[in-house]
Amino acid sequence: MLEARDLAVGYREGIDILQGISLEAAPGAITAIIGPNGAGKSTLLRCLFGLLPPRRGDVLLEGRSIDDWSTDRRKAAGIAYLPQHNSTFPHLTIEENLKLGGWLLRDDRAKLRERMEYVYGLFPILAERRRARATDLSGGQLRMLSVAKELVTPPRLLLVDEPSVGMAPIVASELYDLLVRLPGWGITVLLVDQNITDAIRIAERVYLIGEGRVQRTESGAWFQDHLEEVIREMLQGPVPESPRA
Amino acid sequence: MLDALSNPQILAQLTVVGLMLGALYALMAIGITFIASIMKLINWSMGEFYMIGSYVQYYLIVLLLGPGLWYLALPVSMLTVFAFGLVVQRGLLAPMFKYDEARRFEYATIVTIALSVLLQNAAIILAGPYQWSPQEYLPTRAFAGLSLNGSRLAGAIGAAVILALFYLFIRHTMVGLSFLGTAQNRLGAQTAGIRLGRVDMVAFGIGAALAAAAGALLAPVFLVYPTNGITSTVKGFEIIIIGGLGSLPGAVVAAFGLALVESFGSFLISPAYQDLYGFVFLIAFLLFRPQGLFGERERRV
Amino acid sequence: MGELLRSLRDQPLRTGLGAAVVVLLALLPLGLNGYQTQVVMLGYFWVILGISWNLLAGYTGQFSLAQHAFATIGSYASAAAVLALGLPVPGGIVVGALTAAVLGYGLGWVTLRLRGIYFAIGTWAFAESVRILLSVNYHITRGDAGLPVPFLFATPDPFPYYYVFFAVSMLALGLNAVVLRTKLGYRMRAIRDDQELAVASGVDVVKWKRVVFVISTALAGLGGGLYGHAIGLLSPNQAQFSQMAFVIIAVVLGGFRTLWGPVVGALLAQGLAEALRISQEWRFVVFAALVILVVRVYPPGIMGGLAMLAERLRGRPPRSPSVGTPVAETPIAERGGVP
Repeated sequence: MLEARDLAVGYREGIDILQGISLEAAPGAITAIIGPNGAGKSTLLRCLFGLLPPRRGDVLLEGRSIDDWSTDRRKAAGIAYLPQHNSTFPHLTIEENLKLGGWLLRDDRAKLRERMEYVYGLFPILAERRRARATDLSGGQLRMLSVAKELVTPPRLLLVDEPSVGMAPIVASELYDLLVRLPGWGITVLLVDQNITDAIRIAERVYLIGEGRVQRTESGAWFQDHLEEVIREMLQGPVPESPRA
Repeated sequence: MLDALSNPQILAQLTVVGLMLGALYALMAIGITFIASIMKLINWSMGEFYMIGSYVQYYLIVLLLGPGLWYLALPVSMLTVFAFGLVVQRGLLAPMFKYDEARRFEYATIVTIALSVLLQNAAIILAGPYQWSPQEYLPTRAFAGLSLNGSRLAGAIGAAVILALFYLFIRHTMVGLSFLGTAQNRLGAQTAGIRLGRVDMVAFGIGAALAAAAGALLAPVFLVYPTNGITSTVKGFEIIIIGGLGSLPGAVVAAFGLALVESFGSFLISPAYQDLYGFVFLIAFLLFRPQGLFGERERRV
Repeated sequence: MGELLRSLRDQPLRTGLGAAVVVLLALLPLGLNGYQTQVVMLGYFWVILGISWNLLAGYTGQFSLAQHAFATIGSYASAAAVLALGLPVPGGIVVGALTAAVLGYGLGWVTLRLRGIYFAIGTWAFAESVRILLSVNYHITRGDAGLPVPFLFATPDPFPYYYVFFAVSMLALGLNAVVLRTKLGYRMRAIRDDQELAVASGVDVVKWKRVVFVISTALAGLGGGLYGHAIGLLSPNQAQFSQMAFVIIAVVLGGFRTLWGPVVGALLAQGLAEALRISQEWRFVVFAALVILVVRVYPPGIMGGLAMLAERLRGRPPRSPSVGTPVAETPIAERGGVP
């Protein structure tokens, strides 16, 4: 559904963090991107959402180039982005946060209300506390709100940046459980994660990124079987075939 | 002098005068803090938007509408400056987002200071260094034993109405909510599909229009001349620091507070020191509580 | 010092050009009449202020809005020393510079811990306070009526004044150059570019910020002292915000954050103003518009532009200007482009 072709992205002149990334998020599947810190995984997502222009290469949505699309146009086309850092509005209530999440539906009040109730259905705790301010929420609830906010406008693809960072394991596992359900609702997921174990567990396809490029791509199952080898590779570079099979 | 305060008449007079001025100060300051909350920049030329507002109001009254219809000139004045604000933001300030935070601040400060100088001197060239004044908006009224200056009263009512409308807009419309959201989390606004470029532009225009409204309403009180915006800038900065940079309720509270202090101070101490109270508070807050009354504790450098 | 000499040797063209300009300026009065000489002399006042402000705002990242106020303090302190204490005028000027330095230390102590905008407003409030205090205490300062002060030289001839101002300006420029190439300079730029990193690298940020602040205010005070005894009449209006705006305008036009920028900018602004023979108001309109244009379109200013040109002529691809390097961190819609 979403494809990156030979993307080169950087923040400063002459320094590219990503030096030619090509990958694809297949529709209806969960695709994970793993790799060492600083490899540019988050930068890639920001570029895909339109927060950062690529210096070279294309981003394609269902075959169409969306390179010059603004973030709101991508959101309107169904690309949602869940950043690593808080994307909620601290001094607004849950209700107001979700309302703004549905900004693109603002002209159709009925539809907006319908979507908000749908999202409340997914997160009953948020429904209970809908008049509470975001600052009054616990860490886990805040994370839930972040996800909920991005789901109000019907997404077809969700870009997730480091879902489990800074969260208690219980909350993190709830979040992964949610991510697993998304394809069933017609939402493709492209996930960037430091947490290799969970990422390869839930993903159909995994990309390993290092030094600005795709080092390897295999199915999630393959990565689960070859985890040790992969980690060694990430830390030391490719290991030559061992005489011991 | 202090025992004179036990006279309810005097107490009431001082309080009402303070409140009336407070509404107008709030109008001056809220535009600055509103823009700051969204774009994270301080516009040093806000006073000049006040000034332009006062001139447009004056010319409309004197050339077209006549003194009786001053309240019709007000929205036209606001709209004119709103449009001007849009142009300034889009043309001069939007490019600042190219830069990182430190350069952005430099850029914004240099540009808005330069703009301020440009507008003040352009006003002198175009309109001359004279002081104008439209006719009083309302005749002086006696009300419950108090004597109220008609223009100040009209101005205060106008300010109160505009502030109320602004509040309703911000809190109870989707567009207003999008401004609040953008001020609180720009990234969150982007992920929600809000167009930051448009928000920045319109917010700036609104801030400018609010300053213009203050200028228009205060035209008969503080008069119309090329540098009348300086006081507005000074008071505005004092108020937003005291209230807390970026805090809308802070600006309102600080505005009323300052006006009341000035009102009582003029009576109890001396009218000559009126402009010093704001300064004293400003410096005190910068020394001991830079985040102001309602601001968030900033990371100290 | 050794580093400075070495760098001069390494860049012969630059050094040669600089030396040529200095010689040119030194010989300038020979080709001008008395009035014109005085005009350029006043330009040097702005050069001194500009250099001192550029040191602070351009190189250390402390965007102060009180440079003009410190110059005013220098003027009035010198006047006080001469009129009240009977010091000779040069002694008064030194007192002026020292007073500015001491007050600068105090202000720095209070404001340097504040973040960008608060620091700016703090210095702005200080400057306004200076103006108000000088104006209100008219029984001491004669307020807006103006305070007459003795002249530096007995003769009304502008030539000695020109050379004094010129010498001080070149000294300030030299000081700036030396500072930049020494450890202090590196520390300053480290603080400007990434304060947290500087702290983490062991730079005593607080101390060095104060040092630069004091140097900057001392220079401004020195300039102010000279100015007062050259003009002969002081006024609290010297501390008006429009004066600070002029400093900013001059430095930015010439090249913010460059060595020669303040010199070029201040002399150009002053010269242009006189040459065009337009009113005060028109000058400000033109300069302000130019500044906006420069900042908007070409932030490095004249000197930055010349530097880029020089790099291009030398056949090297020009480096990105140090001022306002665009960071590609903008959403496409925010770059003022087509949404």
